[in-house]
Amino acid sequence: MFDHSRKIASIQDDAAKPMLWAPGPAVSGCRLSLDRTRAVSTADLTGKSVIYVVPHLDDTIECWSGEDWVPRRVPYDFGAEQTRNVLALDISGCASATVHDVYLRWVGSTPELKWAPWNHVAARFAPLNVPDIHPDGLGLFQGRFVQAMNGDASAKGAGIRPDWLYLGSFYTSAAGQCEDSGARRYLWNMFQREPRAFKRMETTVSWTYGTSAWRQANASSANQVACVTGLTQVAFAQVLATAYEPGADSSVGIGVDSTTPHADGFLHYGSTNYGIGHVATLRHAALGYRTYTWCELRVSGGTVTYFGTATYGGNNYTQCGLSGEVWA
Amino acid sequence: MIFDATQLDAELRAAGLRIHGCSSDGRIDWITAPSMQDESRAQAALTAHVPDQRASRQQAEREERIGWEHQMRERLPESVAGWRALAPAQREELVWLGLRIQTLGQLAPGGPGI
Repeated sequence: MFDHSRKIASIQDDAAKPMLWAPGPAVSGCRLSLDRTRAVSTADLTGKSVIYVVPHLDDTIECWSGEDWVPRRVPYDFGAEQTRNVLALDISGCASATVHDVYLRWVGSTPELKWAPWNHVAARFAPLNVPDIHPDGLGLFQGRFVQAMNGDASAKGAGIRPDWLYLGSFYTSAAGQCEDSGARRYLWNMFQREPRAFKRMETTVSWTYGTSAWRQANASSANQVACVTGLTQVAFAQVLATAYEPGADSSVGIGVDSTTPHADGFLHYGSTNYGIGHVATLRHAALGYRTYTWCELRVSGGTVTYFGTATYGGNNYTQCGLSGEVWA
Repeated sequence: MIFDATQLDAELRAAGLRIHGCSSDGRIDWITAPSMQDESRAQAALTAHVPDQRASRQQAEREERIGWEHQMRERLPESVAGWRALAPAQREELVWLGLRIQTLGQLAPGGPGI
């Protein structure tokens, strides 16, 4: 039998004298995904208007019944062509460039999903500073994060919706669309989080810069990676760059929602050399949507030549850009 | 066309153009909005640009040096008990090796040249 309140399983019916104690199942064995058949996508997914609830550890999610948290079986279909019902959320009505939460509840035998927008890309709403609402704007009910109602939390237990279980968050890359790619990790999971790699390679062969002011690398707005998180969480970003600079000094860094390096990041400097490999890193904790920008500088002297993707003899011998990861 | 960004940068600045820099795909990063005359001079520089294959030449030199070093390691002993322990052919190789190193040092960027 399974004891929900203590989250333990025993092989005897007498829960007071269990023969075997084991940790109970996770609240959710599923993940939000833009791929109906994969809980963790391996390809870049762009322009998607549907978010699926896909089994990862198992196919159950515990939902509030009004009296207790009850495990529910999530419908799924891993087939090449969909032939069965699945648990999915249509986001075609979502505004662009907005962070949204995904909530789930079970009414009778029927699951319902909904999305709820944030007031700002970095906060659901202004912190309420009340006991049952987390500073990041989610209600906490019997150990689970649930929906909190903005501005309605004047008393303990008030202003939270235990029937709506929080599953995760997403950021809309365009109106009604979401993306989960190396450069844009726009889907975040509350449960069964996995490390999602950042990847942005600069394909230009080379470029020069001779001004003593920070700018986005190669003057390109594409030289950045972005992500969204539903709770305050650390993301890691890293720049690898190559410079050729006889008579000049160069530096690279990583900005956060900026084209100048963040104060918490490590910069890398090269001085009057014929070839230098730059590595700059940043670990940054934040809530909501943010971008990590590859920044470059000509510190002093003449002109620096930076390299992106260079080829000789049919082989790429340098590929520079942004990498890193976020758990999502 | 792939431009030699370093060379193109020098050519644009030599033409009196005020730029932050440029790129291998011919993009020019102007400090201020260019006048028609600026754009005309820039276009002339782009049209006249002939990449000197500097990067390719440097890579070829690098590969030749690596290949030569590999050959030397294979032919020379790991250690020697003195000059007399070497066979005549090996002594000759080492003499040549010294000349080669000296020559490369002269040819290196910033070196005295031959």
